[in-house]
Amino acid sequence: MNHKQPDTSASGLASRVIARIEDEHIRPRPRWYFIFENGVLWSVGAAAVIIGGVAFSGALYDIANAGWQYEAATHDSLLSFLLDTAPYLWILLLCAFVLIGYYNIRLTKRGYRYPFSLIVAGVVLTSASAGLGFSMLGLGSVFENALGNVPFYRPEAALQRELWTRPDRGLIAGWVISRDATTSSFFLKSFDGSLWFVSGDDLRARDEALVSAGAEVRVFGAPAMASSTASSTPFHACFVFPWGLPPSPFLPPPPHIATSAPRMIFRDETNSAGARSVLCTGIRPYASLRSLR
Amino acid sequence: MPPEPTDEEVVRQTLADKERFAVLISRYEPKLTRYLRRLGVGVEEDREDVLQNAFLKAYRNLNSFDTDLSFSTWIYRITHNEAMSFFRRRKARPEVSLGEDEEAFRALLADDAADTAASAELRINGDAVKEALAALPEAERDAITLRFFEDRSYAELSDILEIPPGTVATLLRRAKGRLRERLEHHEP
Repeated sequence: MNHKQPDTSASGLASRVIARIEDEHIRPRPRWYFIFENGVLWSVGAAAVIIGGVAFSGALYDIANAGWQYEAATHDSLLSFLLDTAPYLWILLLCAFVLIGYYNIRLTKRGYRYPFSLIVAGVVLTSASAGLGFSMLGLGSVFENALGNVPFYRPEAALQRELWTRPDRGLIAGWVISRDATTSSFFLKSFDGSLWFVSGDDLRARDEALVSAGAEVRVFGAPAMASSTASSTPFHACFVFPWGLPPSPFLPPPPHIATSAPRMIFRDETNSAGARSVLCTGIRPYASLRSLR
Repeated sequence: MPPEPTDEEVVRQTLADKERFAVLISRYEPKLTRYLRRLGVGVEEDREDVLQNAFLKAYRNLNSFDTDLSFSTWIYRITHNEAMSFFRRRKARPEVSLGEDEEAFRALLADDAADTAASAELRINGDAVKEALAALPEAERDAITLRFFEDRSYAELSDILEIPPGTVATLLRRAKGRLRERLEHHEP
């Protein structure tokens, strides 16, 4: 091997370093390696921001469909409602991908020059913007449904069904099977598969308008024994609401809103008979539910 | 006599001829050796090992050298990182060694105190300075070492330590505050 001798003025350290470079055949890594490395960091950072957007959109969908209107009926306090319906998994995913985004951007060539708070705020804002965009395109429900296949995840729809399958709290929801033509009573198959005979003596025109065979409804009534079914005591209904939630002013309606009853105009809920019976008026969330009318 | 090539020119030359790397090593060996001693790499053999690894790493990554930075800043960064890896391997970081820097440091700290109207005369001895420096958190000590002993600017500190410029300012402000507080307690 014919090595050129190091500069004669070189220090001992320089000679040793050059000797190791030669002995170990060390070569400078090619320029493309560093360009590629930087590109990968930016790409992973960008992907993390987009996935963060998906998580934001999913969280937004869950929040919009948490059933805020019925909070007084489904929960004892706003805090318990928030704890019950918070989209934990989406928030966790958003945090994880914000951190991945931060970490990758921090490792890029100039990433260290930006403070943690600035990078995190940038990633969160970009993810939020992307998420809002996804939501406006109606993708929130798509993401939610996709996540529904993940083991141990309780989708928002399943949570709502659970919340409204508590006859002991006066909450049942499901499909109207048939309606008595002469009275306001009807048969309802709840989401857990139970069959209920629902007494509609206390229902008003607005409630009755929602009760038609095949319609998906939420029924709020007098608390019943868990064992009460069509074969025993009827479920005493006070209010009927559509299963679908009203559309948010800035987000497209969830798919199940299509099953809602057509919009009807009523000036007064007491247009069919006087005040509701004490069975309904004595129940805690009565005032709140009545205000929904 | 032709002017000395700049570091950046020598980097370009090194990519074509590795022997030219010796020029850069010779230029920076004394400064970096001193820097390593200040960081706490006390044994000469250790300093040489760390420095050798730092230069080899620099050579391997020569194509990533960004001319937005000076070569000096870049090689300080690599050396700093190598020193930190060395301390991690050893699982210990010894106290800082001030040596001949002590006087300069005292003057700088006193000047800075005057600038900020802290005004107290700092009559301190070498042991007190060493003690005060050793008591600083690692990040603050590194910032102080680079700023006061290596005479690096805030922007250079940011590039060497790979932290935002705002964090550099915070580290230095906190470190100076701690040092002053500690040293004032040593006043006779």
